[in-house]
Amino acid sequence: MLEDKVLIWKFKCGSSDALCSIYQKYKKDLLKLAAILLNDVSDAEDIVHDVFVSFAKSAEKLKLSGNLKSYLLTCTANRARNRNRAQRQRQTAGLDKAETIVSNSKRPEELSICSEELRRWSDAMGRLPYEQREVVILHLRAGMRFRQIAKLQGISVNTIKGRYRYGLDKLRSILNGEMKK
Amino acid sequence: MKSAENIEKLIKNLDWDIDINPEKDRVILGELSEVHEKSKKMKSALVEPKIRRTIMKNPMTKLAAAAVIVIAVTLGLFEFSGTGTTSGVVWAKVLEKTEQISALVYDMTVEIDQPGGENLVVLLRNYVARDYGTRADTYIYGKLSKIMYILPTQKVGYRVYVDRKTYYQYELSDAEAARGRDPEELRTCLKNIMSGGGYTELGRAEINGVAVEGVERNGPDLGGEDCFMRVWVDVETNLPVQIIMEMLGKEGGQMRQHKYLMENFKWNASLDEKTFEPNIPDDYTLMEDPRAGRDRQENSKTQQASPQTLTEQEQAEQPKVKEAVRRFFNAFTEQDWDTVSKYLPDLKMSQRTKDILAGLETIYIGEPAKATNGNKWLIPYEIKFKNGGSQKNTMRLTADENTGQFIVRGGF
Repeated sequence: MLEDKVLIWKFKCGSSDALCSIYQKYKKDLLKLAAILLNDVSDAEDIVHDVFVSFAKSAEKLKLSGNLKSYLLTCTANRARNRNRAQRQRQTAGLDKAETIVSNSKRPEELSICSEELRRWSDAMGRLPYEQREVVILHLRAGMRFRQIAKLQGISVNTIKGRYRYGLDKLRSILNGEMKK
Repeated sequence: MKSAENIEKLIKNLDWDIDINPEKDRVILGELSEVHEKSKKMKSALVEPKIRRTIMKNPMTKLAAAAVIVIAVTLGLFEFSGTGTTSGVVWAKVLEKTEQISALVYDMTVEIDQPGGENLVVLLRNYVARDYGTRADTYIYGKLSKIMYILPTQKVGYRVYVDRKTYYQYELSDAEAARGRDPEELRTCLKNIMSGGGYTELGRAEINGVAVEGVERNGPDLGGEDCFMRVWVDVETNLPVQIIMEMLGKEGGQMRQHKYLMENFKWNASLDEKTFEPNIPDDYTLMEDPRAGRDRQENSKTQQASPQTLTEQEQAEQPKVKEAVRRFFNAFTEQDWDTVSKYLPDLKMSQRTKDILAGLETIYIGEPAKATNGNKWLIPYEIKFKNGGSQKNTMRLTADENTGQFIVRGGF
């Protein structure tokens, strides 16, 4: 926390080294969050890139009331949601098939060696509706409270809790179904 | 079968070691530096005039004051002694160590909240040497803007404005000269600051690879209701590594949040006299010392308002005026704020101002004289504040036409 405060001050004072340190410190956390939300590591890398470029431009205006990690994770979640929305619209417009053919996207498990468990999780997560996946991941992996997620998405806490419960139920049913097979 | 709890646990503990593709990593880092540099240039061009105005309006800004407090804090950690047996930092040793310090160099970042969300950020590199004095190089967005020197042996200070190629020099009062080199003065200052006790231990942490332990505290006795201070000390050397202060201060007539970060301390740095020699290029223009300018204006005003011969009625009123001044100062001594507000009806005093003025001592009240212009009484006075400082000035007093109550005009 303290180290982050120092880094932010230095960054706001114009230190490129501080910016690079922030990037090195949090890039993995952001990548993991984006990859699990989008179920695509290439897209996740783009999100991390966009988040940090935007952050680099914001030195002048940046006013952090909470901690830096939460701030960056929130930016990542927002961008992932926008990208997901855009992808859905493209699917609706019939562009999806053409994209699939030329897509060079990497699923998360492709980057891990022989991680059977990870593959199963990735599949299961991919089958959750995005809204439920987002709540489950932000709560369990990013450590955000339901109230924070509700504020981030501009909806009620009860809706968030509902999405979380449905998400977990669905995950359980997917994973238990797999086990039965 | 997996329960919901199991699933929660599994997701939380999922060990997933992925990283950004090294090629992409390199591209992102390159782009970040580029974007940041561009952003800085734009910001510098847009913001610098505003910053310059702010600094020009405040030639004796809080920066210098903050630096003094900060050094005081730095050199006076003995007040933290005895913070518990589990601590790796022996706080009493911090005192011993800092007492032996004759010279240091450190960086200070000052951030002041500005309306509209665009904060004023200034970096100062400070040099302090017991034998020579102090020097502070001020950078705004990485560019050297101003150098301040306080040279107690010569009883002179310099402000060199690098960006404007101008400078001025000014005489140091005895108190200013003492502050410029004598850590004892600073320790006394800290003693006052820290006398409230009640700090919180922060335990152990790491700053730039150095194991540190810290304490923090806040409270009005530190410098205001919202003042907060945190000190981190190297567990090996028992010397401070980082100091953070946040406080509300007056800036441009408004209360604004000030943040100070002190770091990169070089204790017992090898500093020679040359560091403290003002190196002013020939093409720099010498300006008038603003304080001397203000004094000149004040003298001119005083001459305009020079006393006139008193009528019999005014002579009869003279003792009442003197008594009113005595009661006014006495109200501060006794912290009788209701009485104070009768004399200063338009002034709403902050708690901090009250803290400073409470308990003041009246040294001298001179004979009231009548100003030639207007119906004001001019009363010379001298008062002493409880922190040891004193003030010698002339007060302006008028009587309310309806109630006859004396009112202090234009502060004191």
